[in-house]
Amino acid sequence: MSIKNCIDELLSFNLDKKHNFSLIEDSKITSIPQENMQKNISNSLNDNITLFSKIYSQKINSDIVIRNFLLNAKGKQYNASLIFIDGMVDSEIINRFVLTPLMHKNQTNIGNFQNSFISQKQGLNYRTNKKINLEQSILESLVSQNSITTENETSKILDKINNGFTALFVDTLSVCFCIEAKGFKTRSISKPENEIVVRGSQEAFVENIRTNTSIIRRIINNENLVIEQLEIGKITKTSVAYCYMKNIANTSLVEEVKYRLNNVNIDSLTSSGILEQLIQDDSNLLYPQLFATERPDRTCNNILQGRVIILVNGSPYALIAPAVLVDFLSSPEDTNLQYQYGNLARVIRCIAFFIAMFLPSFYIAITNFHQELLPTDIVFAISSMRKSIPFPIIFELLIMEISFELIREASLRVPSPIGATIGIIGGLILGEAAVSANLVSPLLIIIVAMTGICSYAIPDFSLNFTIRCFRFIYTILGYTAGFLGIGFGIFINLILLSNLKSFGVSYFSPYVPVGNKNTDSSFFIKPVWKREERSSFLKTQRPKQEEKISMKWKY
Amino acid sequence: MEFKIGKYQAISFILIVMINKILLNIPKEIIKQSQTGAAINVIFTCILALLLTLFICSLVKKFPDEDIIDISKFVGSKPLQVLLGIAYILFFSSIIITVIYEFTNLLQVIYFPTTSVYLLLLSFIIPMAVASKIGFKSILKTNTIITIFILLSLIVIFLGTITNLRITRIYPILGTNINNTFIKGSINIFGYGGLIYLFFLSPLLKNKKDFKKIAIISILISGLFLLFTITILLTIFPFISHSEEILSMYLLTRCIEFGEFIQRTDAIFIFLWIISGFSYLSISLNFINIIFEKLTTCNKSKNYSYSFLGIFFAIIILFKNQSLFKFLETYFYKYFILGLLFISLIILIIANKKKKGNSI
Repeated sequence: MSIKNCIDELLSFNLDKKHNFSLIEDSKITSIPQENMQKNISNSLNDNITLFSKIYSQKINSDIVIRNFLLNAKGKQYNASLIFIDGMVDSEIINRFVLTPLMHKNQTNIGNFQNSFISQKQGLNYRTNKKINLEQSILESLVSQNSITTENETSKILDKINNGFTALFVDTLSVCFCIEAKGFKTRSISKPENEIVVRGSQEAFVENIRTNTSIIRRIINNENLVIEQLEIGKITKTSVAYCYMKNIANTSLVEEVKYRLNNVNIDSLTSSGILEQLIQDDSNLLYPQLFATERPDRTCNNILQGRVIILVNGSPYALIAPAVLVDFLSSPEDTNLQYQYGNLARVIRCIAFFIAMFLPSFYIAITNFHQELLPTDIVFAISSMRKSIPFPIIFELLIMEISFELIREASLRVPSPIGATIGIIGGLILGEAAVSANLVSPLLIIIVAMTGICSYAIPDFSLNFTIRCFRFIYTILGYTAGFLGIGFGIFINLILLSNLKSFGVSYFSPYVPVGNKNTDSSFFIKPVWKREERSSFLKTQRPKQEEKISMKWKY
Repeated sequence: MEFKIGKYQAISFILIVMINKILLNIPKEIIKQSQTGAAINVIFTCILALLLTLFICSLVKKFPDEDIIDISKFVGSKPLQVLLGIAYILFFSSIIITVIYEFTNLLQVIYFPTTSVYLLLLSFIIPMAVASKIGFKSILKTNTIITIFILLSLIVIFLGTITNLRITRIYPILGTNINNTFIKGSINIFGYGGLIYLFFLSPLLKNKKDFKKIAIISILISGLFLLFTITILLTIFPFISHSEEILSMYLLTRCIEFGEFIQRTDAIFIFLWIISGFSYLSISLNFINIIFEKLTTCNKSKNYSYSFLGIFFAIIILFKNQSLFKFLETYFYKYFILGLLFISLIILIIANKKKKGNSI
């Protein structure tokens, strides 16, 4: 070894010990497979605690609590343990209503003569102690909790603990007491963030499914409302509820929803968006097929129309099935307003829909292929504006469209106080700078800005995405073959949409096939007193929703 | 048929056939035949078409779930069914070929002089293939939406050209002579191409009782639109019968002016007509599929539609001779449709008699 190497070895930072990590095939099984798991718990407390400690990796899992104590019952003491997940239970409930009555010696758990009775044997009277039934005693007189069940299946006990229950194991008993002492923190009901209305309820759904179902029940306030619940996800076992009016909704629709939900076979379900993709009819089409809303009033309106709504625990959105194209263009405000205002708003939204989808493609088609549509002066003006721009029109348009999408995405990600600023500054400065630098023409800025504004007028977030995707497709088609290309795209789009069904209902209902249009689901809404029937495409059990004369005070 | 359609879908399906006929120079052919008497001739042929419709309705009544191909099997067993089926396949094929040819020709002349004709042909073939893959039900649903816009576009054309009308040009209103207007002119019933499709309509309907209503309404609306078109063409272009190449309706759209901003609206109308053409072509292709399925043992004739499309593509490419297409468009279509109408009616009459005999 040379002196230089020696010095290097001593003084320099040793790079040979570089941390090199790569994933290798995992052969070690860290969890107990479901099929190998002991089916029922035993009557030995130690065995049970060992089993659950192992399942929950209690030694490394910081929030799994196992509390051992001595249980007093009928004058005897038993070893007992509570297992719960810290953060999901209310400590106050456990202390006051579980541990205190079980540990303290009091009238209930000290054996006395009240429990003995007199029996006669061979003419002699005996005072005999009644045989103690510990399980019954704990259930009936020791734990003062309203919701308590006994389970002996390991998997069921695990489900309960995962859901925030507290499991009580008692030595000598082969059952576990599952005590409901849930107490996790949830967001309180707040204002809707994405479906804001002026005249209407200011409540929005929250993440907790039970809170959401209670809001629905409070609004509908009828015994025919059914809220069925099931679990989806082999690992997460997420609670999913589907709600409908049993005297209104079509039974085959309810069965179909039930069938699809019961046949979702996945490991985890963490949001309603994932569930929507799993139960929609055609997952390849860009159009949304279930309607998502955060508004309880809108949800209830739809339930009362005969639709089925789906709630997912952990998601503040309700999915409405079936959904038709008109639903995505309507706002909850429409029905709260006079029908004329509502209709005006819908027409404006419809215009916005077409502008947002087709304006760039028509611009490119007209300037490239159909200049004769415009007066000569305007054609000259456009060509003079474009004179100094070195790019072809498609490139110019795509630059601006992509920039606009970037601004939109950036303003969504940045913290909310500066989100709006980014949008305005980005739009103004970028646009101005692009024109000054002769990258794009001023007319194109108007086209892109108009398209952007119109896309914001679309009330539904998913449909907005659809429009954004199709806008690029139509722009390319318009550039390739002008109106022929756009016509080509529209025809194929219409054919695909005509084939689309949402839970057995045509996407173009109630227009194709033609159905009853005097309902809330038609594009043009009628006055409230004229909306006598429910949508015919829903084939409800109660087609009429109001009497022929609803304003009896008048007639 | 595994699906059924409502009355609005059925009416729009018959109408799209007529609208495309109106767009693709049928009015010019009628004017050529009857000259200034064309308007009267259209009213006359409309009455004839209505009478024929009523006759068809009474004949089809006894076969609500069968189309003309099934009925021909009942009358003359498999050989007659095959013969009639081939005739209908030829008829629909000739429609597809001529419509594609007309549209590509028009588009190449007006907008795409330098574009390869192959690309233009493909822009018609691909939507047909997609539509055929998706299914007939979706095509008919799409057609219902399209028909409304096309009818509106025709109304806009009528309203937009009103200022250019010279009513004196329609005289002599009875035409050059009675023979041309009424006797020879009765051949112009071929303009009501929707009549042929009535033979296939009944099994498609949800409610068979609506057949008569649907048939009469669609023929009446068709007649009305044909009458308006011919009257406007006559009063604006007295020379229309001599013009070649360009579609007569296209000439009409060039007369329309909407204010100062939109100089010429023809591109917008062509855009709408292209979509209606796609719809009409897809319907015709699907009828070929249906007939092919009935004549053969194929269950999924959809897959064969690509082969049919390939054949049509090849025919249009191989036979570049314009006179061949002109022949197909005018004489072949005119006399073939009349021949098919006649044969189908004879078959229906025999079928009715046979059924009556069987029931006795």
